Amino acid sequence: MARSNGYILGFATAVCVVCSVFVSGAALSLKDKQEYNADLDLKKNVISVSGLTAAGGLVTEADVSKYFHNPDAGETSPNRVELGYVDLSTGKTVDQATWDDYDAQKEGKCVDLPAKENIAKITCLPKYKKVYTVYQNNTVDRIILDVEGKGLWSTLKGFLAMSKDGQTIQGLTFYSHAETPGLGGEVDNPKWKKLWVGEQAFGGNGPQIDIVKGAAPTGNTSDGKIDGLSGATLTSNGVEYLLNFWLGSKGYGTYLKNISKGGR
Amino acid sequence: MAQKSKEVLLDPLFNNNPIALQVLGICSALAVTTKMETALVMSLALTAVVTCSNVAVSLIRQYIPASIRIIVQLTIIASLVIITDQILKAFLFDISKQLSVFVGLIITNCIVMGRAEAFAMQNGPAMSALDGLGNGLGYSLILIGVAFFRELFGSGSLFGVQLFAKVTEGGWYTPNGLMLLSPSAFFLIGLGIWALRTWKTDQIEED
Repeated sequence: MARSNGYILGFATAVCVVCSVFVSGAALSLKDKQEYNADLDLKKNVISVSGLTAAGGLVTEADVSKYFHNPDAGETSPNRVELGYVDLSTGKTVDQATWDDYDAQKEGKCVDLPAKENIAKITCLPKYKKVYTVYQNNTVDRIILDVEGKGLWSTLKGFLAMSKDGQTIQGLTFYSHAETPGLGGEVDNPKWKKLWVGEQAFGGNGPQIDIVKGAAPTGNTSDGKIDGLSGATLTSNGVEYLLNFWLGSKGYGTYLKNISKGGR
Repeated sequence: MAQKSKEVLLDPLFNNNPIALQVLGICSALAVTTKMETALVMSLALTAVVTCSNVAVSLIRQYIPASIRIIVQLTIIASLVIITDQILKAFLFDISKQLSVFVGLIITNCIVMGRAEAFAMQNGPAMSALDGLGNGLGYSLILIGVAFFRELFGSGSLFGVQLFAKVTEGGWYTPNGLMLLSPSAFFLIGLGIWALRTWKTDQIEED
């Protein structure tokens, strides 16, 4: 049965309107729950490299509320993770108010970054960035940095835990990426993540992370050389570049130097 | 009538399985079957989408202009998939992270579109719902079967519960790494098709 063009157009419009109502309805009504989940997932990842829970173990929602410091709550637990903010150019921490002002800005948030220096291929280098400080018995134990950079298909976002002097890697985890499952996706492999613990992040010429194709030379386990992921050279390179970038002077490098000199 | 409903619902399980006989939807059968948990959630998601899309298409089948029917079906399927993905993100966040793009890729799963075009366009909503449910279950059967073997032999566990103690943790079982890679799903589906056709000889194609 032939239909008029008007009917076809009308029908198509009606289908689109009805479908879009359903889709936007679902998106809006579930938004809060999704944002809560995403935030919880982020915090779980922070806790997983904080060393406050058993290494390699699952982090639960209860761990998050137990260890994640909430400035609004009255008491402060001796073992906790505190969120802070760093001015990347000066390497000094800034207060919440400065961050809130900056966070509320719509434009001009990115700092100029010459393409040559943008080895992590990030789209925006912010002026301020988050840093998480881990306290054990009220003394600083680890510093957790928020890192990101391009892998093969996707932007890898993760957390790098450094020792309190900012020199030794204590853990690495990625909370968001879309690399090939089984190949680049092995960045999530607990065994591979374990290789990072104890590596010296800096050599004579700055950050020295080097992901080696195949197996890294044995013997020296703290030289910044890590086994590559087999079948995933481009993802491995991406991880290497992004870590070297964020450990470097455009990233958290200045802040880490201040820390190693005992400054905060 | 009752006989026909039963056939519509149960045929896709063995007699006309969407994966084993029609060889559709293989992509996700390779991708999400390394673990029972992800396979089960993926099966539920696909069954829900194919059932709902069949009903929706069937309800408006007499009004869909023939010239734009494919794009109309696709719009309905895409909307359902997005809603499913949103629900998973809200209530099963960890699993939805593991399934990553594959929930979104249900849109391109030939089973959903195939049932809408081949069945729901010609039949009433109740029958179409049964057909969607049946095909969803047929897909689930293969997915969960494949995942059972892949997780058991690849990781020595089921639903994340360790059944075989792994050598790396001081046990006796050396996990079969091949089972965690996509080709093993091909082998398992192939073996499954072989077994099915030995049982139901009328499925064997003539040379």
